[in-house]
Amino acid sequence: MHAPGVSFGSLPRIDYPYRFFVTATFFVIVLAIFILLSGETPWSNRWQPAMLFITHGFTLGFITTIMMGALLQIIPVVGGIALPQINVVATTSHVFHLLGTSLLMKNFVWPDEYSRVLSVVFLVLGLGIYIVTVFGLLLIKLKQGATLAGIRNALLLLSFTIVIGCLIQFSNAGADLLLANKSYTNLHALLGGMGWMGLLILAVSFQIIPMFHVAPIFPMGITRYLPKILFSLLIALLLIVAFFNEFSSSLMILLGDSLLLLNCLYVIVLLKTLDKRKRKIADTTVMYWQLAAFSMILLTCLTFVVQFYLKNKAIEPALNNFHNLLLQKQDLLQAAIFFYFFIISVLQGMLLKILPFLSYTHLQQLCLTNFKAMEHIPHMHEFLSKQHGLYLFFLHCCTGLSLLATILIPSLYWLFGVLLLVEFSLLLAIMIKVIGLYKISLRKIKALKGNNIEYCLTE
Amino acid sequence: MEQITLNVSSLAPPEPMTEIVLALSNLKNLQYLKVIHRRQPFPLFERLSAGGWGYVCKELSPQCFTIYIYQLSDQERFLALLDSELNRV
Repeated sequence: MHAPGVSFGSLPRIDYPYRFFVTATFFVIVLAIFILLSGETPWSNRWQPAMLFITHGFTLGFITTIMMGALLQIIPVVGGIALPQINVVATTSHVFHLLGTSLLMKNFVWPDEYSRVLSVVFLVLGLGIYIVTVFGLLLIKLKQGATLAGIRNALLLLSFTIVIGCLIQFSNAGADLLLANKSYTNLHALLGGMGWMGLLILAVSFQIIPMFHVAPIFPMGITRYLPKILFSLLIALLLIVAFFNEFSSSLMILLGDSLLLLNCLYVIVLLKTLDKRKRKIADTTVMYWQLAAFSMILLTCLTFVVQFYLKNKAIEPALNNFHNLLLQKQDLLQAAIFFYFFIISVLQGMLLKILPFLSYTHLQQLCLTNFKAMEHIPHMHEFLSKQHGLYLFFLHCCTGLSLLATILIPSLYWLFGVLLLVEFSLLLAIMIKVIGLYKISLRKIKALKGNNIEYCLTE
Repeated sequence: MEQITLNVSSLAPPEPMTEIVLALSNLKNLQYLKVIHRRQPFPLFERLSAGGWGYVCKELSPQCFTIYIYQLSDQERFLALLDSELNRV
């Protein structure tokens, strides 16, 4: 894929993505407190209401919120054109998404009909407004590169995820919409996880890895075919569940295994691309990408070990308990590795790059006709120090390991809760520092230019 | 006219833009900047004319671009020089 230069002329106001980033972080802080107060109960299986609260807090509250904010910047930059009515879209989708996610999470542990209905309405409105706007722009106005095509397909899979989620909610309320089995729940998780999140990360990485890490562009075979194959496999899964309503057939397992292997192929190419970067200086974001890549490989190995070895082979009696524990907790372990070690690692690494970069770029844009004003722009490391980035990375690793330990030994929930709280409090502090420094620099530049500013954080 | 060369192809964003802007602020009369870049710096292009600068961008390969930046007041002289330089190459 030819990676063209990027266009900054249609950059949206900096507070639009930042409001998504900050509220996403707050969601996890609330989650951490919930985990500390909930005890061991959520960790017995994935169907526990408290575990549903936790998983949706991560997937909708943090991951999707971050991705929505990031796309507001990425699409104009890669496509070179502004999203229409960005103020209305950013504000309404943010507010409805916030309300919908909060009510959904609340409804899992304190159910009532009003919050069930309102959560569906708000989530559909919030995500719907966002998807329709962005998807519409991607269909009509922009020439298609691999990144934009991948983003479009990821949004389509998000739409299916939302529809299935709504149908599950209505089924739980007694409506005769879906058969009462876990086929649709598994499909909902796969379309949301591997589809919306995984495909989006893959597509965006085709731009940001070469751009931010001075690395070569990805091989054309990968950028041209891999996103389409992944998308096709997920659509095939959707059709099989919709028409055969059977999730445990060999075909379903084959498709699921294929998705994992293809993602492994992607992360191996990603690691090789990063290895060829020109300046091999220590970079925490690169460490996050490497952690995510190795986690995907570990996830694939774990899945195949359980599938082809543990389930079929006789195990020594001494190991029997651990064997049974792995089988029993397989779903939670897979979800933890995928969402925490793969997806959230990538997002945190990207935030460490995007937060100072966006702040710096927005300020720099104001100085291009007045070079003297540039001396008021802090250096990138003043926005976000390497040391803080490293602290966050190591905390993230510790929190992730404590998550895996808690799944196997639920009495360790307090350790996971504490580490999660510390990690995301640090992330929030980093964001607040970046925003604060941006505001101070903006004031100085404004003073030089006499308040004739196109971009500002607040008015 | 005198050429000042700046190679930013191994720099990660936002360093290329910063280096280019600093180099432009140090340019003297009858000097122009030749930038070697691995991407087309669109944010720069959009602002150059507002600052009294012109530019010519040549793609040598998908990851190698040469960008010439000159004062608009020197446009005729620069374009004639560039024509002869490119014809020589």
